[in-house]
Amino acid sequence: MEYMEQLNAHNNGPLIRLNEVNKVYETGGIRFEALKDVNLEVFSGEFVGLIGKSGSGKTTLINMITGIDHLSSGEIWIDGTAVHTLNENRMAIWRGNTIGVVFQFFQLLPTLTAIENVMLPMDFCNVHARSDRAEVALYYLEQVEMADHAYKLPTELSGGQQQRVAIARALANDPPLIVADEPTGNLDSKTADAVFGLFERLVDSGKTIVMVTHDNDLAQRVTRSLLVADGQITDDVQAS
Amino acid sequence: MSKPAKQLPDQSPKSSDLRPSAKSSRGKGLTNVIPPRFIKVLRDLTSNKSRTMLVILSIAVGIYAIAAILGARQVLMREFEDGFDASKKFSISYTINDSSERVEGVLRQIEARDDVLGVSGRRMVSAAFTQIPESMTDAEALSRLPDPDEEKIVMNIQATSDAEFSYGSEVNHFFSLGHRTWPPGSQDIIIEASALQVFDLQIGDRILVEVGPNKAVFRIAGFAHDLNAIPTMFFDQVEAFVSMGALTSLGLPEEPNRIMVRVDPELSRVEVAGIADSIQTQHLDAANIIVDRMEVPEPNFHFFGSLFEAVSVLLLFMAFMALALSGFLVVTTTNAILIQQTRQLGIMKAIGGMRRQISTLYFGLVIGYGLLALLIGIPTGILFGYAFIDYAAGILNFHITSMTYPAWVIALLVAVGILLPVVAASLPIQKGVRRPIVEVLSAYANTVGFGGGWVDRLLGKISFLPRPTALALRSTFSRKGRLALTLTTLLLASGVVMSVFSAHASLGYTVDTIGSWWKYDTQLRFALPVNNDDLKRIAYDNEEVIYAETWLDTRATIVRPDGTKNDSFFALGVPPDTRILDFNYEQGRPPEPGEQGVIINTEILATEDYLIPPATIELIINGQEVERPVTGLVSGSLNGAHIYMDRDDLAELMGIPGASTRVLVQAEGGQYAQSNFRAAQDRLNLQTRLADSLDRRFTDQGYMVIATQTAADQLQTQREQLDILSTFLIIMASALAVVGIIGLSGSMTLSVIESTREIGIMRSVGASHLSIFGIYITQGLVVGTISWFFGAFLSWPLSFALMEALSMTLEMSLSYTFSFEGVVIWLVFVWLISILASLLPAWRASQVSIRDAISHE
Repeated sequence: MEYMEQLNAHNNGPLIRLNEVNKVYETGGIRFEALKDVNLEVFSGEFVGLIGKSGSGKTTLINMITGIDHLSSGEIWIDGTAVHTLNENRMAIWRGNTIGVVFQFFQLLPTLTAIENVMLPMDFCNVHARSDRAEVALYYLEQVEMADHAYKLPTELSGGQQQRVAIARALANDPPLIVADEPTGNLDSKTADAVFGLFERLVDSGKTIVMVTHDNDLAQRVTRSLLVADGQITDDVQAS
Repeated sequence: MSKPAKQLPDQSPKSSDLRPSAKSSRGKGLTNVIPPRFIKVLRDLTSNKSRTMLVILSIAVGIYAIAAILGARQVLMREFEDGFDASKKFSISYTINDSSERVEGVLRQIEARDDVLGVSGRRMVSAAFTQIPESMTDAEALSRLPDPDEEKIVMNIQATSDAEFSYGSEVNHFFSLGHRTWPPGSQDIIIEASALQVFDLQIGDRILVEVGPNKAVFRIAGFAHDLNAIPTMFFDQVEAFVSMGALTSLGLPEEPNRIMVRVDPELSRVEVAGIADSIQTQHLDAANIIVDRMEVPEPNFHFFGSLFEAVSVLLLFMAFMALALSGFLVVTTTNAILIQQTRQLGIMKAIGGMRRQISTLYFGLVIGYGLLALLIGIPTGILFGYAFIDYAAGILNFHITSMTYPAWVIALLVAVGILLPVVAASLPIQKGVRRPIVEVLSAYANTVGFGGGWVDRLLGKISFLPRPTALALRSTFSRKGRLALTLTTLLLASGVVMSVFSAHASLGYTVDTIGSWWKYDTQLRFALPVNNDDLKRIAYDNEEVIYAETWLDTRATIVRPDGTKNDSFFALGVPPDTRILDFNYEQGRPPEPGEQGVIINTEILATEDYLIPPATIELIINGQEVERPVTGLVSGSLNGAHIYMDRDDLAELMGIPGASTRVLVQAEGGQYAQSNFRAAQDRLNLQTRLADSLDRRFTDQGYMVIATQTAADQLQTQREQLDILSTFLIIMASALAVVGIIGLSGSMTLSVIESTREIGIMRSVGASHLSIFGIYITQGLVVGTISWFFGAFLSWPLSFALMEALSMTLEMSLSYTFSFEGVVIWLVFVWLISILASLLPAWRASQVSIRDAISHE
């Protein structure tokens, strides 16, 4: 149980805690329960994979964690912060400092170069001295092996390269938690493998990652798998 | 440098090792200096050049329209007022019946008065002139017999001292616009510049000037500008200036017959009248100088005032419309551009951007668009405005000394270019930043629902249309907010253009109505009164004349109840049983035979509002004060203030019983003959031929004809005056139509950009380039046609209000007619414009590849 010992050494409590989280969508008079009484604890340093069929509630669950979407009832605590009580502005600052978000379609701003995309969260959250930001951004791009492409626009980069930049952007404010929604879903298998390797290195360096994935092979490589079905976590498997 | 707290295990944290060997260095310098969010603003402006150009053009075209119309109006108003002040129009005028040397001494006495700013003694001479062909010598010109085919033009000559030419006059100032000799020599004449709009005259040309039986050859020595001169195009009369020394050759004394005095322009008319009486008593009467007529015009009154006021009203109306149109265009464009930014807005929120930060960023973007639009809109608008000012000043005969736009107009342009987009953007920006991130990041963030409202359901039921057409129709209505804004812009433009068509038709109809009051074919005016019987006898000697009537005209002055006097105006003596004059009375009735009543026109009523019939008018005619009942009021007809009275009564007052100064005739086969089968051109030819024939006949018998006029000429002169207004209207409406075209084009282009994914889907299921092209052209046509339809309804109240405003400012009744022809013409234009505006967007849409469309974000 070397893994658990390592966790306990790092933390006294869970980094993420969800209590009885519900999310209900109502469209055109039709009520849809996307999440039903979800309870979850994720500890610092874990690499959690959310797996499940389309429409099972995986994305809704990570949107709750990142504060991108609002829960209908329940509580979400992340790193000691009651996320469900934050207003939008405080949420933005908190998110910028605490969570790095990686999207399936990379979502880089098309008119900013790779380095500028990485600098943007620092700019918004006023992290690092202004004169240092470019250097810090370059450092993170170096970590994801994209420093050579720092001054290229997203359209000049391949999908894998864009996702690496997106990961560097997620790291820009040095958040303890990275949340990724199918980060390899739009990449070929070789690139997906490389990006996944990057995530593994991040976990090794102390980051906590919660990631949605459809890829069964990659799902085998996480430290903990959560199976989501019909808005509930139906299985919770720790890697041996 | 603060380093990240944790590092990936296999990396060195030394910053010196981190510097990449980037092949591309785009914006490297910028990156280190400007925060990335502001770099984004700059890049958004420069990355998609066609979209940026479209947005900038859309805003710029609004700025251009305001700069062109409002700016031009303000410059014209200012220059007119400044020019009028500089022209030093006389405050008091005495027409004197004395030509002795005593006048010079009196002029000096008047000038020495404390209450007088300036005085000028001039001789006013009514003459006629003809141009002398190059091949003819002066002697030949002077000795040849009158040629009836030659056009004789009425000329009002002002003879003045050389000092006034050299040093400028303190009263009724005129100035040189280019000359060979100044002051002019004794055989030189200076022509007022407005004559150049009508006649081809050059410096050096020779003209034969006739004053009664006397003739002299003058050389055109230059041109001058006199703001107080009536432009030639209005009455076909040329104003000219000569030195006093030149009068000898015309057999006239070198002495003034008019004394013009200028006093403080801030004084009221009553105060000026007091000074006028004082001058007459203390100086003119004391020197035994007989004053035939004294005029005290309304201070600061310009005979062009009402026409200019009308132009001003038109321009203000158009400027207001331009402002409204620009506002809608800016709002539409800003809205559209922000909708395209929705996803990026969501990303920025997701990575920590706060509302305030993101809002600032987008306001910066909008200000950027506005600034760039100002760079295009202000210069082009001002250039158009300059051209228009130049044109208008030429038509209205005043000189522009400075084209500088007023600061507040520039400030308004900046406000429209920057503040308006910011205000317009504030709602979509606030709406955008408030939208949940999950919603804006959704793949369907920018797609619009269709089928929710009754309009959608109605369109859904239309099943007979081909599928692409039905799709185009439904797509048009999918973004109802955008459609409403685009339609409002186009609807206003359409409404204005069609109201201009109606205004144009109404002005034409007014001319026809005025023309129908004057039932003559040709009239001749004589320098001296002629016996009525002689006039008729000679007229009837012409076999084509079936009816002749003689009229008498003179100048008269109104004495107001408070004792002040108004400007002199025309009094026309007309037989009580006239068959020539057939007025449509605004109020009252024609005088009964023997009643000695008078009819006034609305241009008199404009300054003498107490004269609404029935009333009593006190007149000074030929130095006699008389009272007459006012029985009727008729509309003015753009030829100034007139009263119409019994001819024999007027002749008695003038001391010339049984005499007249005009003869007006109806001809066999002419416009007013009962058996009138001739075509319009034949009638015009007949009227001209008749004028020539009668001119020759009277001249042969020793009568001095000073002018001939056909009914067609009169109508044409009035039409030209009203055409000035129409021309101004059309120019301005065209400027607004451009706003509409750019607006539609912009809206269509944005629609294509937003529908790229849909286009890809259509292409992937088999839509050809042509089908896609057709869909967007159809969309443009649908939008254009809807705007035309509602614009036609809007044009009715707009045109009616426009004509009412013109009627008030012109002080005359204007007939109103709605131009259905204009509505149809505009529909054709709208279709052409819609196709034109949709061509580029439709072509772009047809060129979208499936791969690009599906990957479009």
